[in-house]
Order: sequence, then C-alpha cells, then structure tokens
Amino acid sequence: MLAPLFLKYQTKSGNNYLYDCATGHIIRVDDTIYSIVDDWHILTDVEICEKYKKIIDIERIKTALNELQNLQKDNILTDHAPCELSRVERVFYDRREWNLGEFWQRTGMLLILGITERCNLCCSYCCFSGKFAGQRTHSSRSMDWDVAKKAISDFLENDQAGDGTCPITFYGGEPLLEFTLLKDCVCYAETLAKSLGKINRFAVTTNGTLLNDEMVDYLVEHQFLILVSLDGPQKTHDRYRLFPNNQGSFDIISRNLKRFSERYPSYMNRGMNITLAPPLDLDATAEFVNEIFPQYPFTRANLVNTGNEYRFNKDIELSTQYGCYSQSICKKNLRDNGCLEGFRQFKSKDQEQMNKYWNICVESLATLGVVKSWEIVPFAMMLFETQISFYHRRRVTDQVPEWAFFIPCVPGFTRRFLDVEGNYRICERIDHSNTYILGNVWSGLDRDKMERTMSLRRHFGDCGNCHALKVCDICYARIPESDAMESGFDPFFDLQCQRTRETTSLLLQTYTEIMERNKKAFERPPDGNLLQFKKLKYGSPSSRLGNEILEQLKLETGTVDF
Amino acid sequence: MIIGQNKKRNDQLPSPGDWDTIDTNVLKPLVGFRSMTTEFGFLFRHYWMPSTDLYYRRSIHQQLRGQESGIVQTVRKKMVKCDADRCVWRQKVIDSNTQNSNVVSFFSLSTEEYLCEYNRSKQIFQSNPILDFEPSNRVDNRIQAFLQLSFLNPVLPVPLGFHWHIQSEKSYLDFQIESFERIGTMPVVFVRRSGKLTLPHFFQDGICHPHLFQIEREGISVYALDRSMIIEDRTHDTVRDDNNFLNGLELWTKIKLIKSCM
Repeated sequence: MLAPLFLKYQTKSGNNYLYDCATGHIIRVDDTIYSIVDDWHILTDVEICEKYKKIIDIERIKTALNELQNLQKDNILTDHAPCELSRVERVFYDRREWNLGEFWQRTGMLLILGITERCNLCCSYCCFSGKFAGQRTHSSRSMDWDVAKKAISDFLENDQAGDGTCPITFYGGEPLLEFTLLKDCVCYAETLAKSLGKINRFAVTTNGTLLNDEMVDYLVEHQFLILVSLDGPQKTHDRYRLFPNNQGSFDIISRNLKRFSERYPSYMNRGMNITLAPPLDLDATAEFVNEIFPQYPFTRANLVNTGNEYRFNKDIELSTQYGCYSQSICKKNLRDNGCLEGFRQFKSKDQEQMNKYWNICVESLATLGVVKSWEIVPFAMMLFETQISFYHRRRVTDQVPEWAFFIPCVPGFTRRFLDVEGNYRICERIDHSNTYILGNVWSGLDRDKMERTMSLRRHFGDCGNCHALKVCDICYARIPESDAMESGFDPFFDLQCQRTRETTSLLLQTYTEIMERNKKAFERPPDGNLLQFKKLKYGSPSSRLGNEILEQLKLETGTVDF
Repeated sequence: MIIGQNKKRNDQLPSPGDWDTIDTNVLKPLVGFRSMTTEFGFLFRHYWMPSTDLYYRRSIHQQLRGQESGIVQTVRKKMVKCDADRCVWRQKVIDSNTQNSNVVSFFSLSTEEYLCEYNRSKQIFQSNPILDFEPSNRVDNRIQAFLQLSFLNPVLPVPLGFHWHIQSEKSYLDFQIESFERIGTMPVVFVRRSGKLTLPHFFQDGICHPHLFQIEREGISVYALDRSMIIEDRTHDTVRDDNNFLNGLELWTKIKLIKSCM
C-alpha cells in the first residue's frame, strides 16, 4: 500500500485543506500537518522529524503525525492501493450490472432521435457545416418511420430507469422539418407508454424559424421541453446563424417566440440554447439572458465548437474550464487546426470577459447563495454554477472504496442517439464516424462495440491513480478519432487529463472559499421548485454518514469538512 | 519454452548468466523508424511500477582503453507514492560484487538510500539521498530520467512495430515494440531503444566530475504484461568524447528482476 491520494490546497483566507480523493472528504488542517503531509508515508516518522525539526517544534510534528494516523482510523486518508487502469477496467466489467444500477438511479436514460439531417439554416459554425473533420454534413435524409417506431418500442419496453419516465428528445438537422414524423413518434410513444404504465417526457431542439402556431399548440399540449437556438441579441445572433442566402435568422425567430409567449405566457417548459462564439460580447448576451430568463428558465450557454480538439463543444463545463484557465492552458485548448474562421478565434479579450463572469458567479454564490444568484445573475450562473456545484454534490463516503473508478458516462445507457440510418451512437455530441456506433435499431446494442468504446477511456491515462477520478468530467466527445486512438498514444489525451487535474484543484479551492464565506451557499429548495434544479438529478451531495464523521472529526481533531 | 512469433530470438531472452555473457548482437540498432513525435514528458506517464517492492540486480561491465572493470549491485525499489502525475520510490543500493571499484558511471552508484521521484507533469526526475532535499538542475534531471528510467512502456495494447521518440534538447531515444512473446506462460513484450545522450558529468569513485560528453545507447527491455513490470533490461553505451578523456569507453549494463512483491 502506498501513500494516500490527496490534494492539498490553501484558500485566500489562509486556511489549509486536504481533499481525500478516496472518500471525497475535505478536511481543514493546521499549518504543521499541511507542511509535513507531503512526506507522510514517503519518509518514516523519524525522517520527517529530522527533516522538519529546524522549522517546526518536534512535539508539534509528533502531534501532527498522530492526528494523521487518527484520521486513518476513521477511514480518511487511507493508504492507496496502486491501481493500473487495465485492472480497473476489468473490475468495472465484472461489476457492470452493479455499476449500471448506480447510473440508472443517477441519470436515468434518454433516447435522442435524430429524425432528419435536413436543416433550413446554414450556420457558419455548425458542426454539420462540413468544416469539422469526422462530422456528417447536412443532407436530405430523414428517418424512416419503421426505424423510429422500433427504437421507441425498444426504449419503452426495456427501460430500466426505475422511475417510469421515458424521456425522448427530437434532434436534427432541424427536427421541425419532419413535424409529421415527430407527431407520429409522440402518438406512438404515448400510446405505448400508457399501456406499459410509464410516463413520457419529450424535448425538442429547434432553430425556432419554423415554430408556427400549430406546432406550438402541439408541443405545449404534449408538454415538450422546447429548446430554441438563439445566440443573444440580433447583432450577435446574426453573425453566424444564417439562412442559405446569408440572411440573418434573428428577426423570424424573435417573431415566432413573441407569438409563442403571447399564446402561452405561463408555459415554463422552454429555454434557449445560446452558443457563445468569438468575438464575445458577454455583457450584451447577459442583458439578453436577464430579460428572457424568467420566461425561458431552461436557457443554457455553451462555447462554440472550435475544431478537432473539441468536436462538439456543448458542455457548459468546458466554458468553465475556459474561464478557469488563463494564459497557457487556454491557448492550447483553443489551438486552431489550420482553420481561420472567426468562430474559432478566441482572443484574450474573450478570456477577460469569461473571467469577469467567473468572478461574478463566485462572488454571487458566496454572498447570495445559489437560489438568489440564479435570479439575479442567471447568465453567470449558467456559465459556471454547474461545475462549482458539482464539488458540493460530490460523492462523500465513510468507507474506503473497494474500487474508486468513476465513469461519468456509460455509452448506450446514460443516453443513446439514433441517427437517420438507425444506428445507435453515444450521444448527439459525438462525431458521426463508425467508431462510435454502438449497434443498430434492428439488432440492438452490440455489447462488444460498447465495451470497445468504453475502453477508449484508457487513452486518457492513469485513471486508477488520478486524484481527479471522482470528479472527472472528461467526455467521449473529447476523444479525437485518429490512428493514435487505436494505438493509445497521443499527447492530446495527456493534455486533457492535465487540464482536468488542474481544474480540479482550482475548483476545489473556489468551492471551499465560497463555503468559508457562506456555508449555505449551495442550499437548494428541497422541493426543487426552481425549474433549473429539476434538471439536476444527481441527488444530495454528501452522504449522511460522511457528515457524521465530519462532526466527530470536528470534535476530536479540530478539523472541519464541508 | 518460448511461444510466439519470433522464436529465433531465443538467445536474446533473459538468462541467469552473469553480465559478461551478454550477447551484444542483441543490441543492434533499430531500423525503419516511423516518425512519431512525442513530448518527453508524455512518455513518462507510463513509468509505472505496480509492485511496491522490487529487487533488481544491476550489473555494469566496462572497457576503457583495454582496461576492464565492473560492478554488481542489488537495487531495491520500494514504491511509496504513486498518482497520475508522479511516482515516488525509495531506492537502496547494496554492492554485491565489485571487480574494480574504478567504474565510470553516468549516475551515482552510491550505496546510500535514495528518494527518487518522477514528476510527469513537471517532467522532472529527482534522485536525492534521504534527508538531502536540495533540488537539482531541471535539464540535468530530464537527462537523468533518460538514463535511469529504463522501465518505459506505452499504454498497451499497441501494435507490433509501434515506434515512439523522446527528446530533450540534444538528447534523444527512439523506442520500438519489437515482439510479443511468451516465457513459459508469461506473456512478454520486447521494447528496443537506441539514441544519443549528451551528458554534463560522470561519476567515478563516488565523485561527480563535470565533463561534457556524448554516449550512444542501444538497449532492450523485456516487459512482463501480466505483472506490468520490466523483468530485464540491457543497455550498451559507447562514449564519444571530444576531449578524448572518456572516448572509447564502452559499458554493458544489465538489470534483472530478482523478486517483486506488493
């Protein structure tokens, strides 16, 4: 057994903390422990005393060593079992059923139907525009009814989510171009769900240009979550979101949305997808969001896809990392692959704006708490709150985990995307190469292909020994397809892991600083009456047992934990 | 018994013989490199000792202007910390047999206990006696890593013939997966490497002598897949010294696993 895996960090207030990677505990420690803990388990106690006796009183060193040992008795900072990823993977496969059970509880399952590859817009930054390697381009193909019907019936009949809900999302191209097919799918799904005693939830992602009264009536009647792509005020939106004749689409979308609001002023199951593309004007976008947010509470903002490094950059987490990472790392992230289009060129001014909203988010959380912050500064929260809150919702256990490998996504289960040909893919974010096909609608999910896809994660490095393993959010969308993927040898993967580890340290520190200032910063309404929080299905952050231990620690060793 | 695609390599497999039985033909240079650029630090993400306690026998045999000398040592490596960024191990060296103590080496052969660390993110290799915590020069540390971290392997599986290249300033090494074979029931992979290293100093009689020279290195490692560890490593170094002080020095080094335990 080796030295425990932990991260140590200091907050601006001068407090010292250890993050125990195995259990998820955050423990405040005194200066002596903070000084010697790096050598704990590496040097013997005698050697530690010898090394530090000139700068720290010997009795204090001994007391600190005792306290560290006491923590171990409570299963905190336990010895680390060296672990190689391939071994972890074997364990994971052996325990697949157990593991998936966890995932069903956490995220349920989602079927995404890409019902058409047609689109009436020609957005210059679109990942299907032909400018992105490995992605399909727009075409005239649409999904056959037989394919959609089979996928829906399989999904409903085999759903194991446990709560009886069967969420189906319609995606494109522009899915409203196939509105008849969409209605057929909804009708079939509702009839089947009723007979099976299950509940459908529907969502559609649309560019909003075709959203007429008939469609709105139908979508509202079936309680769709309606997500419209709108990038902000007209000046911002019309830079990239264009019709084939280069005419901007803002006017027609805003007209449609205005009619939507007039017909259904109290319908809240709607939001915007805001794509942030450079050059950013976040103040204008924030003003726009502040205006629409009360009526469009599911609005979210994502950074534009910049190229091969992030094929489909829709994760809000990425914008967090962008904001967090200043200077060197940022430059690597946004490295351009020979393309000089404006939407790929983030500049330092863009970064300054992101950093400004990062600071707004942090300050707001610390002073107002999460609920009030969503009311006052929704745009800043949209950008960064999810990622910071993730550390509040981290898993905290009171036992040494038998294996501590955490995979944020299980291909084919967490969600599955059905393309027009009837192939199952990981999700709509992943490129359309054959690599990520998990099976098809007629023969079902292919276990070998799923396992092979999951094994791609091995390229990301030494997960079994990584201090970020419990909070890692690396997505399959960040695995570029190349020869290196097959060989498992590409510095790109290493960069991803380094970024994640560095982000972990930064976010832990930020989270802790917020908690130091406001212990209730992340308290949410217990009934989830704020619509934003309905989307968060991860459950309560810390285990009850973990908190009990912390209480004990507070008494026995003077340490505290959030 | 050897099962595999390259049975003719029988004579290259590790044997219990002494260092002087090394067949230098084993160490012929690599050919047909595929150009693959790999940052120095990236490679060392794969410096990995899953066992927490390893015992190796290190044998060095050298010739300089007709004079032979050599040393045999037992090296104990005890892993104490390992995360995705760095490995830390305690390394203790015990002299087993010394023909001639006047051995020239590229790193200290002192029998003190050392604390060794490879930090992959910072690309720093450090090896200091326990309780001697003065940091040493970074560039030097990188080349020391070239010399000492022979236990390198890519994330497997990789195809046969897979090549990679590491470089730090003028020093470089090229690696190649040469064959997959079996020793008994144990699947192994042979990793061949060669390159040139420019070094700023050498050690003799426990003293560090600052002196710039170049060595040409050829080597081969036998990596046990099941155990995730190198079971034998051999290198052949030839010194090129413009000042003619060490020119012509040849070293054959063999590191052989004696025992490993968790």
